[in-house]
Amino acid sequence: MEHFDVIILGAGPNGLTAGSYLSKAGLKVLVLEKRHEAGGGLATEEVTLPGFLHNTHAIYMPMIDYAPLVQDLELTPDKVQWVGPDPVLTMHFSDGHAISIYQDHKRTSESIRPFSARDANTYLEMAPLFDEMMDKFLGPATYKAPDPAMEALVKMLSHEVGRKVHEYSEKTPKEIVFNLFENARVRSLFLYAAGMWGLDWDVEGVGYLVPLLLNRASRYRLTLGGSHRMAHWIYKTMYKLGGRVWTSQLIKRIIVENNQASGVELDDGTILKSKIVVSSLDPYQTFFKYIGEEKLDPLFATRLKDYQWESQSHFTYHMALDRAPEFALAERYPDVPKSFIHVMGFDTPEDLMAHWDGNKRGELGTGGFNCCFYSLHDPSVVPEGKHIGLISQHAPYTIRGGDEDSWYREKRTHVERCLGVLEKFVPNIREIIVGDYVSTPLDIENKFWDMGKGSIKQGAYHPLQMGYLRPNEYCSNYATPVKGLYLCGASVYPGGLITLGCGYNAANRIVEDLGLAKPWPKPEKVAQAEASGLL
Amino acid sequence: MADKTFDAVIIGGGQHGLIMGNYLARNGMSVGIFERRYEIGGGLATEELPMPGWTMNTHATFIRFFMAPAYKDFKLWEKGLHLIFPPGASNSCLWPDGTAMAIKPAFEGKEHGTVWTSSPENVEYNVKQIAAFSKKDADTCLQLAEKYVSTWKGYVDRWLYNPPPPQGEKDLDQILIDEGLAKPEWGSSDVGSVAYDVFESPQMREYFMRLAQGHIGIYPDQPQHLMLSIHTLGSMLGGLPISIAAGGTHNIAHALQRAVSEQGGEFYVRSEVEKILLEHGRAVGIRLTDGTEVEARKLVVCDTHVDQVVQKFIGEENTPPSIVEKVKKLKGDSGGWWIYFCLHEVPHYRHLAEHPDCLTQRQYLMPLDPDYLRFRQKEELERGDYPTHHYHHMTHDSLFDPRYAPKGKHCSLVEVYGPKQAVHPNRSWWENSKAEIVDRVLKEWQIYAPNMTWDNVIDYCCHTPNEIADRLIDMHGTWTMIDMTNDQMGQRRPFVEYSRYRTHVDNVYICSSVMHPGGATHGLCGYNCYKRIVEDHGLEKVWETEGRKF
Repeated sequence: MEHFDVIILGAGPNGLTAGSYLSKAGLKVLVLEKRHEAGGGLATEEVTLPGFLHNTHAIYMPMIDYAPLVQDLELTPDKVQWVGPDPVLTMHFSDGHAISIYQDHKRTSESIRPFSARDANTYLEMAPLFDEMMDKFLGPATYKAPDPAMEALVKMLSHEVGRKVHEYSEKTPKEIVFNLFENARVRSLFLYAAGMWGLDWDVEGVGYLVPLLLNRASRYRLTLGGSHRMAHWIYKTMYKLGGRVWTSQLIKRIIVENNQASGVELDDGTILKSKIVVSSLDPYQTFFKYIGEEKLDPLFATRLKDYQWESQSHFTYHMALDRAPEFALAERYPDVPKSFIHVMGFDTPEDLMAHWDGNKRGELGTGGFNCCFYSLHDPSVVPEGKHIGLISQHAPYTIRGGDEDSWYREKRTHVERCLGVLEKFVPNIREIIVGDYVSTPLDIENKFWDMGKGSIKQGAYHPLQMGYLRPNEYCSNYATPVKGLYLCGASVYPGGLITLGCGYNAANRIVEDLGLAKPWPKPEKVAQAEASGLL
Repeated sequence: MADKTFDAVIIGGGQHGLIMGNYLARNGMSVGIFERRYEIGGGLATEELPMPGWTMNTHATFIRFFMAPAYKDFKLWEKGLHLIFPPGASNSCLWPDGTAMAIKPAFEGKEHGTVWTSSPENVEYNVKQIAAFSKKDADTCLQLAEKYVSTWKGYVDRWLYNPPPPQGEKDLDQILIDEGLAKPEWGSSDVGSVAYDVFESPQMREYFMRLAQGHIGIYPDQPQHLMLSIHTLGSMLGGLPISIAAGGTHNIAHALQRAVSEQGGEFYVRSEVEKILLEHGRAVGIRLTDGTEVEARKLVVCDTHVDQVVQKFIGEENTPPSIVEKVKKLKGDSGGWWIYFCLHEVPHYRHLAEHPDCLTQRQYLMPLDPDYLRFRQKEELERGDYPTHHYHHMTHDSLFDPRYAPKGKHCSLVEVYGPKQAVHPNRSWWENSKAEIVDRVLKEWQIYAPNMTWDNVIDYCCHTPNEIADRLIDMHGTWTMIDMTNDQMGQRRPFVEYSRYRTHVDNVYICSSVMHPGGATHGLCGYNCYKRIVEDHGLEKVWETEGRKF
């Protein structure tokens, strides 16, 4: 049996990213994955009909233009390719209107103009500013370990761009969007773009995420051949660097003696020793399930229990389609069929907030969602002439008045509700569905054990568990109170979505702690942000 | 100028292609494996179906991959592959009158299933199980098992673990017959006749006929190869157990791929091959459908159906007409339903009170009407009707591996054979049949396990030959590419000119299930094809290095 320097728990985007960097640094790495495929949320599966490749978790890639891994691991375009459909996001309104966010801010502004000249002008002013915030600060900050709050604040306030970002921080997403825009449709569009990943509309203290998310709404990319292609290539790169990834592994425990992690025990009793254990799992599994509360400092254990899952989950509906969808608004808006993401069912920001609030009360309403027909942008994922559709809706994990099996019983009824909304905007949808696959909030948890309560980010975006405090002050900067144990999943900074940042930052930390050389350059934009004093 | 260059190019990343890649890489060759699908593995395919968090093997399910020399030669248990051997009985038969029979493995495995020792207690247990129905059948099974150990096993192993002999030389089935060691009609007669010839009890007759269908997908009116007949007959008292690949059979493909990657081999998914490039009658490379050209310095091995090799990759224009005709005449036709159920609770069989061992990994629910299975079912199926009686072949993997279902829930896979695909070429018949057959399966299941009502079903998915054909284009809706009937086995598989793995193009080989010894997750088509390449290219005689006979 081979011997390993590092064992990583979880082969999701962050586990694989950490694994590949640590392999590159010369360490012997083994990544253990619970599912039968590596990739975590980078999952592409043939789950409706043969030949239809569905992205069953992550699809909208937000940070491909920043993630250092893309350069460092030579994920060259002939291996993995991304496309950026344009418009990026279109909101459909029930009275036959639409607004689109394009990659080009001028085109977005023109799309807004029929509804409000003021908002169109605001967008033209706002968007370049958000670009600057992203490029000089928020983007590079994703790929550097966070500073403690006061230190981060001092740096932020030392620079004009940082001061602008700071102005947003204390405001709620709703305040930011409502202050910027006057028109209900425009507000609805941007509030959705800000809340798309479950950022609560009324949360205070994490407003800096709004410029980031609105900026990203014009930048989402699609991975050709399915999101899982990214996992394949990181995986292959790891193997070339001597790393190992084993699938369908169940762990009994992380071996911790005298507060020092020294490997893991598998469910069949196999002991795998290592110098370092890195967990990409959520804090509950890492510390309570696989180490045990009795082995932890009581204060730390108490603090861990504060960690919150998200207030909402996702209900997704995957469709195999016999032919292309026909959009009701295509005649008036010829760009609509070209759009990557479609948002439907929210005519006003009040509709949207009511839907989110209903979810928090466990209500299953007829709210809207975003949907996507990605075979229109990548025909390689379907048999010739066929198409794929995907509905992603914010939904409650716990259904009011229900029990733990409620979602198993409710899912088909809820599909009908969603189709009822979709057919208003895609009238031919019911006649073209030839196969389908449902994923409820309960199914997310069944599929990915680190996504408790149907989480999609391994924990809420809440000021008390963001930045340096994610998941808490004991585990900031990727090291934990248990020696030799590190965290690298979405429950550490910078959090969820496919940023590949948590794994990158964790690997850097481990390499630094071991005093090894980093055979990769510091990202140029991180260096610039450091030079400017922002990071 | 080629885009990529390898010593060996392998078309198709199924079990045999991956095994081939490993052995060639072990010889220091550079190897590139090109797979059409989005994942490697071919029939070693696993998906989260019918819903997230459940594990469904969409093709290979019942596996004895520990038989594969590659499992040992590349120590796949050290590459994350975990084969689970359920404790207790491995097979069980349940009848509607409340009777049941459980069969324990005759061997107990150690060292990850690489070392097997016989278990006299298990054999004795099995004798009692069979004797409950017929003392004579139990005695027969005992005699057959003794004959198997003393005589047949040596022949069966030699047959399984080697390429068939060259054209003109006798294959082992003929040698056995000539030496008077086995009844010739066990190879030439249909399975039903063998069942009735050997056994007297309806239970054993049914079990034998259904085993043949479960093993190799042939119907009771078709003859199976003599070597398979004696292998099954010799194992009625329990042979080697069936194992579960922890987390799904696709993990076998992963482990094989890890072994290839560790040896420097490359694999490419979503890389469909259009042509084998020929120069002066030899293969020099391949061209993918996207135009990429790959140079093959030494050889090309196809882990695909022979029809793709001849009609597409090499081209009929480059193939002798007699071969072209033989490819067209190959028979592969089967039909049925594979239904995967997500369940709140496992089936509560009425039989368990008296037969506590009969909730096993591999299970048969049979109507106790062997005459129907042997004689009457055929007419119904030829008319294209649903079978009056189902012969459920099922597995309950979540009982033995928690990876197969969410905590506290269960899964069962049910196989029911039906009309052959050719009877219903129209896809819509199969599509429309799904709801009906699932309902019928549940109704019959309730006779055995009253809790198997719709209330216990969380979700299900039902696959027909169309799903197999769409997913794995080489399978043409079957489990074994071409039928494993006597006329297409051994030296006759796929036909005598190709039966030793090499095509009419000197350096183009075929290593798929279309070759000897046929379908199933034993890895032997790949292994035996490698043995042929050893002869041609002077490579490592790995069986000698590893100190074993074959």
